[in-house]
Amino acid sequence: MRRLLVLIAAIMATTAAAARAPDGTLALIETPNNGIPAIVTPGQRFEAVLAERADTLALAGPQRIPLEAAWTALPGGKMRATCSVPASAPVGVYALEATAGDQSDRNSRSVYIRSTFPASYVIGHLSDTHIGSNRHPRTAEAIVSDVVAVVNRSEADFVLVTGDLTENGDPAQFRSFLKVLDTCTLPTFVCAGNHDRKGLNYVRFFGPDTYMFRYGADGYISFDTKDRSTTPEWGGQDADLEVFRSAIEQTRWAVGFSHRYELGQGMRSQLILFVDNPLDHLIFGHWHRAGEDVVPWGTTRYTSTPAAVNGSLRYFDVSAEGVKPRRPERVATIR
Amino acid sequence: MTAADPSGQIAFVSGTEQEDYCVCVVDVASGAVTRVGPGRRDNSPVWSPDGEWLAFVSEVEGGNAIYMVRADGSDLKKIDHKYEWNSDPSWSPDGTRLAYVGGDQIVVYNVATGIETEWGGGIRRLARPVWVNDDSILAVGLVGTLGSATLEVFTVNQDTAEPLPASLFPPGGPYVEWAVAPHPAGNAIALELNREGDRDIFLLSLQDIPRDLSNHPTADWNPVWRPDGRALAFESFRAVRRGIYGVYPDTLRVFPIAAALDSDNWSPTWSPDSRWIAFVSNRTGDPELFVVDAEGRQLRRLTDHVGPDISPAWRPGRKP
Repeated sequence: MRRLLVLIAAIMATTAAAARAPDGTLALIETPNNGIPAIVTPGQRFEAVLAERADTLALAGPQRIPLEAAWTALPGGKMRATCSVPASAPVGVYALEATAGDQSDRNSRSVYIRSTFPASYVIGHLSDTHIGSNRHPRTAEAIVSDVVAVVNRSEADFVLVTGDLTENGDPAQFRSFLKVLDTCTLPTFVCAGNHDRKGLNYVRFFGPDTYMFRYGADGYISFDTKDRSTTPEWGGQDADLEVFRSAIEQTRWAVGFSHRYELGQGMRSQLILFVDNPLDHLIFGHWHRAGEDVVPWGTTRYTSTPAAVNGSLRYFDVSAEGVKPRRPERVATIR
Repeated sequence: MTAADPSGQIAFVSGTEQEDYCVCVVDVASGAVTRVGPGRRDNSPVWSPDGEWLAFVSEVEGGNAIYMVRADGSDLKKIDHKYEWNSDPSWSPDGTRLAYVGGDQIVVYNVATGIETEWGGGIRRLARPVWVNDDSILAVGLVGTLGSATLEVFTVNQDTAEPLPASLFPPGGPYVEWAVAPHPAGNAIALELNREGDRDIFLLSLQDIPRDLSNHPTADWNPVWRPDGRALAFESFRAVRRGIYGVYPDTLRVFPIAAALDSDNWSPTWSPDSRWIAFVSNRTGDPELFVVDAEGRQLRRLTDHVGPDISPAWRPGRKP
């Protein structure tokens, strides 16, 4: 009976807060979210960006872990919380919940507590999911769900989903994408593609499209420069890239992931990432075909992966030997 | 307004989303804003030397075109281009021509005749043209082979395009070159050079040895000469985030103009009298225009719109 009460309490607790806004866009919590999660070990800290100061806790079924946060004001009135994960926190997948006054928000699949970061691990890579498209007899949602089911059964530690998440950037397609994304049992890091650029819809659903994260000894930067080529100052992405690249300068491997890479894209971004302090590896999609080579500047190796909407994915082995792409796999049928 | 207050007009790009970015002109004293562009991904506004015309880039069916317009929004006209994609407009010192990138080469447009002429003797992959004098342009060229590409500054004339001579550069090259700014007198250039991963602002001239003006282990970008030619503004990450700094080439004294730990400050443009600098900052959230004096004091906010206000260009007028 006591166990039952605890279970009911846990269920009530997990349903007390609304996840995101009713239309699926980000609400009180901007990051982390299910497209830009935090991966930490017990005793570590992670950063969250919220619309205002709030009480924060990590939530996983009956597990409710209050998070101590140090707050910093950001330009525009947002707040950054540096959240401390207790050393006693159990490993698991957590939602981040925040409460400010009568406003409450919960971002599911946004905090992953791991026991340790392995020296060798595997990344899953999906690109060009094109949710909402009707280019095959099966829907994009059905095809990509099958691809996600395969990656769920893999040994991957996390998954990169590099843009063209939707067919035309409509909010309804982003909501459909979220449903497919949340069938993934691994941390998922997304970035925007050219098909996702309809106004600010991408930002409303996932937040910044330029960000970085550390995974153990390695550093990762998400960016998308192509659409910035005519207005390079917009949003300050160049400055973000410079700061992020410096922040992961001492990592074992520095990896960029983007929807696409072309020599004609924003030159400042290329100078930062491939010339001044070259990334070790660049992972992208857009081409809907496999490709491996070195960027025109030399040094940085790149890998493109065929489209998930065509049933494909690829894995990378990351170890002391480097970031090694495996051959792409066709894992789902399109008809 | 007092005599000490900044005045004049500044062109800039404003919008809520890239699709509706529009070139506007703000009156510095009153803050009144006039939309002068078509509002189709407008970008890169540049004033003619006499301040009579504003050239900028805007999206057209199948590409980008260069437009010209007066400060009050009148006489808007689109250049009839040979190439579909056009960008990076730059006025000749005498104001009779515009250079820009058409396709992947440098094109010079005669404002009086409306005729486009390709410069550079057929050399392609040239970008960011800036005039040194009425006969010569500097442009950055993408050279080398795949896997060993690099950027070099070229002197571009009507029939030729030649890399700057190696003797101009400091020892230890080759360098990856970018963001070149000719001195207002035309006798020297400031440009970015990457030396072993450290990007600094250098001063090159035929009369003097090359000098590292910014000399800091963090990245230093985008030199902009003060109209009187006695100082430069540039962007640097020496305070972690992107800030605007000044340097006097004679003494190498570097001083902060607009820098903060928690926000970015960029795109400096000098007032014609060399006393003020307008720039973009996201210190209040969206990128907005601000003005400070030449030493970084007397900060004032110039714009306050939903969405970014970027790419300021102060209208020439009074001589320094």
